[in-house]
Amino acid sequence: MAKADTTLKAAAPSGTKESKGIIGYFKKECGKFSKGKFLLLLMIPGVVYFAIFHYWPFYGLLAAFKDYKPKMGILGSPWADQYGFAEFIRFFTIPDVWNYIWNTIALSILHIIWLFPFAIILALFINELRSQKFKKVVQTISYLPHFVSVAAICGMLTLFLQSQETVGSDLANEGIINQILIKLGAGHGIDFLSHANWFRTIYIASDVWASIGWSAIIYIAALSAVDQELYEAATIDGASRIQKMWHISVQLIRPTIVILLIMQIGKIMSLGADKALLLQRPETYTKSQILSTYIYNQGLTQGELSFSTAVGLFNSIINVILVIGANFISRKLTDTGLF
Amino acid sequence: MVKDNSVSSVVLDIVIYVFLILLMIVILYPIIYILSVSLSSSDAFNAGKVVLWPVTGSGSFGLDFEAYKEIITGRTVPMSFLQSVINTLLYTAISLAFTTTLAYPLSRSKDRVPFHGFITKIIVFTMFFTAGMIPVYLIVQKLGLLNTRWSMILPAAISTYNLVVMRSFFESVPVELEEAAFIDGANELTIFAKIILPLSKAALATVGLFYGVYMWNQWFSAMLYLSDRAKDLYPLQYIIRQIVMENQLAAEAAAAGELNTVQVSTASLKYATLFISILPMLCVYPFIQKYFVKGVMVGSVKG
Repeated sequence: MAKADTTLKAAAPSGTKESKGIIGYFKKECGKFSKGKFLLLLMIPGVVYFAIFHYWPFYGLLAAFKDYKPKMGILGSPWADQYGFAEFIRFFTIPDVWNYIWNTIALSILHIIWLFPFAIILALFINELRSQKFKKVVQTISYLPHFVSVAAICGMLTLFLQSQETVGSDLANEGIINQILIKLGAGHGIDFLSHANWFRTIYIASDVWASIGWSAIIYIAALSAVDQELYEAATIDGASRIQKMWHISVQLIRPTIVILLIMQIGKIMSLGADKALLLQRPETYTKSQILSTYIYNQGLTQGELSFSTAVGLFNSIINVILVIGANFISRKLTDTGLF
Repeated sequence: MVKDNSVSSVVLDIVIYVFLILLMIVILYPIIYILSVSLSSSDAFNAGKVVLWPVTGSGSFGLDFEAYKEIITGRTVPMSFLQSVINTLLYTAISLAFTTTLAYPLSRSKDRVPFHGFITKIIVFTMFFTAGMIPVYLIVQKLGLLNTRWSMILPAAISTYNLVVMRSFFESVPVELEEAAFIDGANELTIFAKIILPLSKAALATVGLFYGVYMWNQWFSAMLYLSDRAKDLYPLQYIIRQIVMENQLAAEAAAAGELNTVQVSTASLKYATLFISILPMLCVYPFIQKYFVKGVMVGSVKG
């Protein structure tokens, strides 16, 4: 069986070079038909799905190099200027673009900086609890926000943080946070979501609220697998609980932390549009416009399909480089990678 | 474990309990507050009296169901609730079917499945390189799915992460079982339907719940693919955006002359809608969380 495996691997790369290899590969695969025809049949719906919704869109990427007009179709549209790269060049000459790229990176980095330590601390603390009942309660409650939708979270933020920003305004128009501020003696509330400087704080704080419990799961599992004898031996040697937490617990989950951290860094430019779209207002674009929302706003609101396809392609290429780089580093450091 | 009663240990315990209790308050308070406002009278809310529990006009504890009555007798929210239920059920069924039928052959030996290596490679490739939002939008448009329910369901039919989780589950089913069935003359399809699937109920539940929760909480695909023409298809999570952030429900009710501003404030309508949207998850998640935790573990090990 191992032999068959190696010959298969050897056949595949050479197949791209010489036709005999391809034919050989096909013959080899077709030779499995008698054994596996039903299994191949089972895979058809899934493979068709990937073909239509993942591979067919690659053809749409051509629009990035064209002056795409929906009526003419992708092939019928004329090529863009500058050997097809006009939209890419235009993208980099827009002064705000660097700002949007930086906004994307800043939100991702802040997410890592805040969420990682909180999740690790939560896991370490839960691990220290002796009462199984309390442990269960804490875990169950901390998982709750994971099941609340992004739309609902942003709805809450909108309602809690709204304000008329006028002195003596009706409390009905003030969110709970502003009601408290006013009761504490602030003259008027702050409409937090329309101030660019508050955007990152709101975005990250709600991220932490939503994900702290869920992100801790993996560390809690790693910690529960630790051999209790290690702790007992340390106790006999006179280690305090804090020392044990640091020298045993933290050291044991360190590989997990490193892998997750590197993987997160690989995703630094692939921040999704949905949450930012819900929280952003035109007044806060200087901080809240990230690449994915820019693609959405330009492509589907403004109808600049070629341009936003080009921006999306640029973003995808950067993401591939980052993920492969992150995986390479992870392999070097920990001998484990995603692939 | 040896009990440790030193000062530092007691201090640590205090720090831990204070941290965890604060965390629980911070997590629960927004949810409780939404519920309380939705059940308070508008006078109490307008006077800023609602802090933790529902308050009636007289300023004392009490429940006021006016907002919920208004919503339930209205059209927008019940309709979108129904749409969300339909989407979630359909999507879960379709995705589960697509995912299991693809994951099972991929979990078997390479020597048995034609093009096993090739198919694995094309799937893994999509985890790294995607065409992006606009090209997928153009395909959905080309297929004539815009403004239909299928635009929310089909483009997301298989999540590669769930596929990997499912495959890992199938890999743990011993091959010997299949070999025995083979000798008895069963073919691969019979084995899959009669032996593998019944043995994988836990896996089907886990992945099915992943898909179900994803679809229930999904709003972005509705925004991408549905226009005003398909208003009746809007799922609940998309309606929240309109009601909470764009004041849609209040405007609609005012236009229809329905809104009795004395009894129901627009604020309590918004809070009630928000609560309705998260209520189903609040009810089911304590029972389904163990499946989720299991799925996270499998996914992270095999990633």
